[in-house]
Amino acid sequence: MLRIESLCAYYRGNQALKGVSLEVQQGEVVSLIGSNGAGKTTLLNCISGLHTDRTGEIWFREKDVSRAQPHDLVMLGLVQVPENRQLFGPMTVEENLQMGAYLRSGKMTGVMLRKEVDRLLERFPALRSRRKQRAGTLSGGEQQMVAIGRGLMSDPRLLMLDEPSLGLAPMIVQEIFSIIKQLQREGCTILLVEQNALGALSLSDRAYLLETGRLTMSGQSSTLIADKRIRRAYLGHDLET
Amino acid sequence: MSILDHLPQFIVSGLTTGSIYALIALGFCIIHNATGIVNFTQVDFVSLGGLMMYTLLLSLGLPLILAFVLAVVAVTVVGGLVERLAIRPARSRAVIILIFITIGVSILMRGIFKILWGKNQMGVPHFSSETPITFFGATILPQNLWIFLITFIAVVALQFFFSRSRIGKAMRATSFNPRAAALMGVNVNRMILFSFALSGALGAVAGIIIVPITTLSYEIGVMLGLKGFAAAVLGGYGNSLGAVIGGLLLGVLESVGAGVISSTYKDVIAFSILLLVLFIKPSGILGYGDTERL
Repeated sequence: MLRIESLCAYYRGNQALKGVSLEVQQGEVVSLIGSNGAGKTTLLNCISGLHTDRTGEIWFREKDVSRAQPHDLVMLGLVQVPENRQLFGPMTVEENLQMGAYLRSGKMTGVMLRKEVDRLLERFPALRSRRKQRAGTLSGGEQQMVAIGRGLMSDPRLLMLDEPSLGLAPMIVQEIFSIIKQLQREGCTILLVEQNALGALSLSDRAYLLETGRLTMSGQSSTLIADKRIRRAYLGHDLET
Repeated sequence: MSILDHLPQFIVSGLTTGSIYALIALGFCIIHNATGIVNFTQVDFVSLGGLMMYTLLLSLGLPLILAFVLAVVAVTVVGGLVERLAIRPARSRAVIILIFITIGVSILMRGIFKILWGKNQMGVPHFSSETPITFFGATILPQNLWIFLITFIAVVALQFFFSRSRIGKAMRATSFNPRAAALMGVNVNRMILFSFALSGALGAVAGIIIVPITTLSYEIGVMLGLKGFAAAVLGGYGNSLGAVIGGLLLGVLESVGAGVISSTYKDVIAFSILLLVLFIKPSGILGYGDTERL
């Protein structure tokens, strides 16, 4: 579904990605783990067409989208839920969700759009009473739910989640991961970017490890989770345990 | 007669020019929210609205409503062209560079207006009768009422556009967070183009409705436009409710001030208010900072 070949990305001449190649198949949940500053968000922003100082090829649904604009990619079903939620803070929860359906809503009536929002909110009961509230006034967990919901409103073929657990309390993180598991059961294709390696590896099918701009490891998540080096560097386990 | 007897008159004329400032201030706000820049061609949108009205109504002899609509459409297109030809090619540049570009384009536009319409002063007839109505001791021209009515309609329509329509919401979303808007599939470049076109339309409306009660020239919009800018600052730059309140308030303060002191100092009063706001409360009356922008 998504294939990336030898992607390099630059920031004012500094190389942030040094030849990254990866792929995501239909129906898979793939996680991309790595520490802060490894280039995970840069990679997603390259895929989404936001970061344009780059070389290499990006293919999505058999099309070369290396030079596509962000809105063209959303149209094709490649949707990113960005790091730190990036909600439209002064707009209501409902308006944020409507924005998710922006490209589709041109052909929808107001009633249809409201029904879509209703259907989405069945997935997030906690947001139902918050519908008319400004998104910026919600708690972190609720904001993350709105961000994921907004992404789902775009009707994605591939959903890319950038650090959905960032800055959330452990209990809320569990809740967010259970939402992702639910999406996985429904057959969503997901590329999950996480610093929380344990959480990401325990729910994904396959995983890549990104270290200072290079993919240094890849394979089944169950294999990576058992790997000694990963356990020591990313899961907080000593070799002895 | 005391100042108090004249107060209703000062307030009526203040609200009239204040309406114009409000429309211009809204134009400044919309472009600021879309791009973060101050667009000084806003003042020329006002001039062009009046000049187009003159040409369509008097030189071509079109009916009033048709001339009004075509003049607004023409300036809307010019607004879009300014974005497309002058701003977009330089968009990766710093905000201050873009602001200087708008100043340059503004001077260029004024030069073109001078060539096309000449330096003479022109007059445009009132929309309806010129017989004044007396109301609570104030003399009101029907044109004053047209200005209030059209400004009111424009403000309500704009509010409706931004709160209800799909494109309006997308423009707001883009102003709050352009990257996130792009990730929703919003074509951010197009939203910026729309913001220039919309500001062109607002400037045109302001120019068209004011010229019957003032003399028209190729640079009529400059002083009105700068005061519209002052009104936007007074209201809280980027806040559209603030722009309307700031516009009306500035109009009334200027008019009452000119009545109490001397009309010679009318402009001084307006710009002194601008300086006072900048010294005392640069965020303006309704400026809460970035989270409250429309």
